[in-house]
Order: sequence, then C-alpha cells, then structure tokens
Amino acid sequence: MQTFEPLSNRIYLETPENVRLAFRLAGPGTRLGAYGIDLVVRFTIFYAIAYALSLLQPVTGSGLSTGVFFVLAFLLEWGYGAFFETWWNGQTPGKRALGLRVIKTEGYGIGFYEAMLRNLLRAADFVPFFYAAGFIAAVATPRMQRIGDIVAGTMVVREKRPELKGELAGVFEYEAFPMSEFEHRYRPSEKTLEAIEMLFRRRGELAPARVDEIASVLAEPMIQRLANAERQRRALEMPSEFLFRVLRTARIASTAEAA
Amino acid sequence: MKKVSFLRERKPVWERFDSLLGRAESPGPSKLSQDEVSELSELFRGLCYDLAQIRSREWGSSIERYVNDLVIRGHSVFYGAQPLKRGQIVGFFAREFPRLLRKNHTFFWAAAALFVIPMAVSWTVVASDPSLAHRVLPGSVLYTMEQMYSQDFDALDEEGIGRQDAAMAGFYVRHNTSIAFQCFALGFFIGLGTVYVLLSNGIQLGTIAGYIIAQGHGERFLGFVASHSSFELTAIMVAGSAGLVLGHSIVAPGNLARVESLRVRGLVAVQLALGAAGLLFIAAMIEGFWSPQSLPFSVKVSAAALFWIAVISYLSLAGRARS
Repeated sequence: MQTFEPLSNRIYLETPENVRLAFRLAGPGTRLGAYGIDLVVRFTIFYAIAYALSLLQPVTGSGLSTGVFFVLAFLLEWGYGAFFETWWNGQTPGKRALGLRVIKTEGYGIGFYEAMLRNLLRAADFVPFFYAAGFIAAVATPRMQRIGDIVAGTMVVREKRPELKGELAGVFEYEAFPMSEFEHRYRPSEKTLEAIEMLFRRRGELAPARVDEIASVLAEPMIQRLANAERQRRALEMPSEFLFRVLRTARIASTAEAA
Repeated sequence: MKKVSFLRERKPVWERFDSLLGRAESPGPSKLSQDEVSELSELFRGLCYDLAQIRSREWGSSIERYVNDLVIRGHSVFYGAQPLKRGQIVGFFAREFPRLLRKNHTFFWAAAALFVIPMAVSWTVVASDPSLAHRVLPGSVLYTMEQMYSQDFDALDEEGIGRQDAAMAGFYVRHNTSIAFQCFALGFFIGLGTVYVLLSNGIQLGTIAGYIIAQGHGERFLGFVASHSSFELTAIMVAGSAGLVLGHSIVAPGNLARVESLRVRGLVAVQLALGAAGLLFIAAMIEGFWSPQSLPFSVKVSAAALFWIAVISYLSLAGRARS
C-alpha cells in the first residue's frame, strides 16, 4: 500500500513487516545531472576504445577492428544503462555519483528486465525532443516516473547514506540552564530538541544574526514558560544562547539518566 | 527507555546489520554463510521494530532516516529480484524468445505487413521511375548512398578506422539499431509511433534499394546488404511487434487497469525487444565482418540465402517441444 503527500518528494510504502518506509524521490534536476555524467562516461569509454582500436589496427587489420568497433558502438549505445542498472542494483556511474538509485515501486531492487525496459523506452521519453515527453510524464505522475519508469514499474529515489551523528561536543561550551526556572516542570519535547540540534549543527553555516532570528521563533513559546521576568528578558535578547543552553542541559540530563 | 540509552543499545546492532547488508548486496553469488543469513533476517525484524518505536516516540528525524534507510536496503535484499544466471540467458535465446514470438504471431505479421508492403511498393515504383526517389529522400542522401555503392569496399577500408568513412559506417549500424528500438519504444503512444516508424522506414529502404539498383550498382548493393539484412530486417519486424504489443496493452487492457496492463504486457514486449536486440547483434557482426568482404556475387548471394534460412528456421522451430 502506498501513500502520497501532495507537493512532497516523499513517498511512503508499507512492507510485509508492517513498517512504513519513507522514500525520497529524485527530481528532474538531479536525474538530468546523473544523465550528464553518464553521457560523459559513455563518450569517454567510446573514444578510449576507438583510440585503442586505431592503435591495434596494424596488428588486427582494418576489417576486424571495424567489426569490433561496430559491435562496441552498438553495445555502448543500448546496453550501458541496462548493464549498470542490473549489475549495480539500479545504479549507473552517474546515479552512483549523485546518490540516486532505481527501485521497483514496491520498494525493492530492480532486475534485468526492468533495467532493460526502462532504458529501451528512453526512445519514447525522448519524443519530440530531448526528454520532453519524459519530463511531462515525470511531472504528472506522483512517483515522478518517466515513460520508461511507468512501463517498468520503477522509480528513482535519492539514497543518501545518513550517518548517525553524535557530535554535539560543542554544546558543552554552554553553561547548564537551570531547568527549574520553567513553570509547571515544563520540559521541551524531543521534537523541539531535535530542531534545536539541527540549528546547532548549522550555526557555522549561517550568519549569527540569522541564527538568532531562527532561534527566536523556536525560543518564544519556551521563553513564555519561564517564571522569572528577568530571565525572560535575557533569553529574548540572546535566543540562540538560551536554546543551546537548554539543549545542553536536556542532553546531559538524559545521558546521566542512561548511565 | 530514553533516546540515548536506546541508541547506545541498538547502535552496534545497526552497524552489524549494515556490514552484513553490505556483503549481501555485492553482486555475484551470496557471500553470507547460512548462519549469517538467518542472523540478517532476525536483525531485519529487530530493525523494523526499532523504526516503529523511533517514529512513535518521535526521537528525531536523523535517527529515523538512518534506520529507515537501513530497513529499505534490507527490504531490497529480502524481496528484490533474483540475479540473472548465465543459463537463463542461453535458455532465453534458445527457447523462450522464439516461443514468445510465435505466441504473439499476430503482432509479428501485422508488423511485417506494415514494413514489407510499403518497402515492396516503393521499391518497384522507384525502380521503374528513379526520379520519384527525390520525392521520398533528399538528394544529398541519395547522392551519398550512390557514392557508397559505386566503389569497392576495399577502397573504403584503406582509409581506416576513426576517419570519415568508418564513422559513417558506424553511424549506419547505430541508425538501424535505433530504428528497431524506436519501433518498440514508440509503441507506448498507443502503437501509433511503431506504425509510423515501420511505414516510413519501409518506404525509405525500398526507395534506396530501388534507386541504387536503377543506377546500375545493384550487384554491389545487394552483395553488401543481402546477408545482414536477413537478421536486420527481421529484427525490425520483431521490434515492431514488441511495439504493437505495448500499444495494444494500452488500447485493449482487458480486465486490468491500463497502467497494470502496461506493466504486465510490457514484460512480454521487452522480451521480444530483447530478442530483436539479439538479432541486431548478429546483424552487426555480419555487417562488420562479412558484408564488406570482396567476394564473387554468387558466393555472397548463396551466403545470404543461408542466413535467411537460418533466421527463419530459428524463429519458427527453436524451442518447439519434440514430438
């Protein structure tokens, strides 16, 4: 069973284990990029072989090398995508470089026939010029499938291998925040802490003023729960510092509990 | 359980799963021992549970995404397609493909008619009045064709590979395979694309043949094309039938939804197209190695007859049950 979210690149799929998996669909831009890389790879292989054949010609004779050249040209033109997508489980060099993978719409890897089908049908996607039909199909289908994908029952997903990050060491530079200052034993939810963590990780990429601007949105409902008016005023002045102190305190507390 | 202690407990499990998966995913025969396979499937169930727990407790998107992606990879390993074995490839070309084509013979004969009839008509018409060729093809194409067949191929060969002539010859091979595969793919447009490609190529090939023979280069032309045309023209008709199957699955989906019908019969169509690719491969071999040889016309014609007999008996006899 599959569910779609409108205007989202996410697609959800329920497995036989009753787990809902989330897939991130690849958009036309990234796919075009992968196509470009593959084109360069293909031309490089093609000209490398043509050059090698031209060097071998005195040994093999021109008839033989012409024949080999024909066969290789034919195989590269039509076999490149199908070969790599079968052998590398849905990836070509271009897709691998950009972290894309072709999978069945049921969520598992593709086989030879799917790889063949979606690559041969490029000719239909190419109509009337440079993948115009494929682009329209991708925009019109919820799984962003070009014609080859529709017939083969495949979709292209982003496959970033996320790392588990435990690097919040920098947060210890901040002073602990007296959590008793919050009214009614309030504690920020895990979701809020997650948001603060994300901001904390990205603080280096953003201008300090921008960090505070984002922080103030996050911090405001929390600041309202502070009992002390003086604390409220100081937290409003430096919302990012306030958030990071809360983050540190919450994380240390949970580490202490775990230990 | 708090997030941190959960992480501390489960992280080694995830990493173990990751490393087992990495080995299971690598192509070729399975590199896991029997015990490792059962361990992997046990870990997989554990990870499914972890993912559900992370979601319900809202332990944050980064660990959710991490476990989600591990489960996706596991899902792919457990439910994914079986790798292709060499025996299957042989079996496909030796038996399954000719059988499948005979099973879909209506589509084959339709494609053949759409291709051969216009070719025969334009051939006869242009042979009797060569000036009509200019109505079908631009003069530059006709001139190039005539140049190609007005000299012996040995003269062309001396130019060597990587130069103009070889590049042109390579272009023609790629051109023919492109036509065949277009024939298949454009069937997606309710078969009309296939019909168009078959008709227009039938007319063009007939025109070229009629024109060149009328110019007096008939022997050299037929000597060159007769052999590889057996496999090449048949491949185009087979690819055409694949395209018609694809188009028919949309026009007449039967009890299925159109998308489903496409997926089911697309599998038939792609196997036909794959057979066509095999035929084209042989055609390319003949065109590269055999056709350019300068041999007496009689030898070439006899060889061509053998090639035609070979392709016809392969498609009509291979894979039949012995009785």
